[in-house]
Amino acid sequence: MDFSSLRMDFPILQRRINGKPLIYFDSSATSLKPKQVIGAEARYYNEECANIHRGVHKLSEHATLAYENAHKGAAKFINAKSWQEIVFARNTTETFNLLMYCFWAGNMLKSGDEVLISKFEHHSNIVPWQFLERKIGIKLKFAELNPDYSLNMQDLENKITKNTKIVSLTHVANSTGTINDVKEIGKIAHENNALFVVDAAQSIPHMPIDVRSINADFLAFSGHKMLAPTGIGVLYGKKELLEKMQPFMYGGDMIKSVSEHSATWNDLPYKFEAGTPNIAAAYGLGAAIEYLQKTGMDKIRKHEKELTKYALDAIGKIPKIKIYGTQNPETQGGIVLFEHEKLEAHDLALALDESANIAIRSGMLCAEPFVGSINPRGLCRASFYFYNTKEEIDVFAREMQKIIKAFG
Amino acid sequence: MICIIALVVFGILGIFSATHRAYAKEAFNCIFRRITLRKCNTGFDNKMKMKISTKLMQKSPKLGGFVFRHFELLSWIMTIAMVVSLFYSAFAIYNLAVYGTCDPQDPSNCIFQPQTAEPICDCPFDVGNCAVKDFQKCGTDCNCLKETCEMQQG
Repeated sequence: MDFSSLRMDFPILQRRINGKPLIYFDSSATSLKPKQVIGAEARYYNEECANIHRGVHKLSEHATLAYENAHKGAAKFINAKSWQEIVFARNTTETFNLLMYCFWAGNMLKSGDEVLISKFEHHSNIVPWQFLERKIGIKLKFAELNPDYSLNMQDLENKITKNTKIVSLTHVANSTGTINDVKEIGKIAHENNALFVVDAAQSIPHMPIDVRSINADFLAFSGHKMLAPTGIGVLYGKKELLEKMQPFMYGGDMIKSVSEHSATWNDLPYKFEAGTPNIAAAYGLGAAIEYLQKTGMDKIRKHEKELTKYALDAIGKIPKIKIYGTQNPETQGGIVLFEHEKLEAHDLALALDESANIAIRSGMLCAEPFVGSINPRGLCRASFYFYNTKEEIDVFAREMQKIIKAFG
Repeated sequence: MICIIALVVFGILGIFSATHRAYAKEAFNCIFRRITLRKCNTGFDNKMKMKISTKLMQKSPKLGGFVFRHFELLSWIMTIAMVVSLFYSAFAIYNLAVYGTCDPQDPSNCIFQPQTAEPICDCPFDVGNCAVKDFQKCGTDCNCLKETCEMQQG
């Protein structure tokens, strides 16, 4: 597949800033959006703008159908058993808050219970559990990493006890790009009667995911990192678990019937989708999933492996640059985490932006416990997607060398 | 230090451009934090440092590198120069208001002389009998033609 031809689908990549093209290496923060997704969102507002589940008129029916189809598309995309296992939220962070709250409100967690996460989790998989640590006295435990920044599976196994109720781990670390063996982790979690929660925000956009093969109890991801608009995220949950859980938010659309002093809850997934949802973003998510499926997730993964290998070689050759990660494209997603021995991360990122419109991420990368342990002032991250090219990596490496020569 | 200069520069540019207005606001926040004895945490100074030194780096890597390394010192120099020139300007405006010239010691140094309110006849070259200085007498007629001058003189 000629991935460079797909670049034409991304209007922002046609943009020139100060006469130079944009080089976007920050897809781990949010991906660029193709015209198909932008068009789908615009279609809702231009042609089918109506609330869902609330009208008998044509517009409402069309919108409801498209919204439900987005659930079905997401279910098919991750091979869920039923579309009712797909709950829409705002983003991955909200889905983790949903889980935390539902476990708490439903007394599924109590004082002394343990939640096991890893050292390189995103804040969204740390902070909600910290709340329960303070509120009800659960114990938050961290699995260690190996020296090559892969997950220490032995330590993970050692840290699971009979009190461990939840093992919640990232599939691909948003900092180093390390790909965790979620199938194996899921097996270990279930052998110890713990629920297995997967943060797939960094993996869903880049590789094929099969929730049944992973045997995840819950899996969360954001739309905006996989070409969809911002404001929509997905929580996959096994139907039997979602049915047992109490709702997260209360109000409109999540009810079946309401009397003055009581209410009954709607069917899945609407039990967890209170109020008018982000309908336009669901249109966009549907279009994004369609786009990714048409492109082929295997092909995307293959292309990104090549880009990662190329980038690791190119960045690795730059003097005084240190790369953190497994540095093996087979075990690393399209992310390269690095720093210069003298230049601050933000300085390097600002200079790249100013000199050649190269957008990279710098700072704590929403993973402060991990990134701060390497450098309290932050690190740089270049992250790739299928619309990136080797030529862009060449420009990136060349500009880095120029900047380091002048400022380093 | 760069925040002070930036506030003045972007404050003026901000009248015409929204981008610069945002910079001016950021610079103001930075100064406000400093004068209230708090650390400037906006990263504005660093942003300016990188923007300026990277721009210069593209023209001359050595110059860019020099500015990058000595940015704080250069900011101090620029700020002091700005304060000194502001002081002299204020002094000159005061003199102009009070004495009618911005330099009472030597009024010819001041371009804002009261008499300059009248048009000065000026001629780039001498024309016949009509020398440049003669045009001072020409009143409001600044025509450099000899006839005009003679006529005026006559």
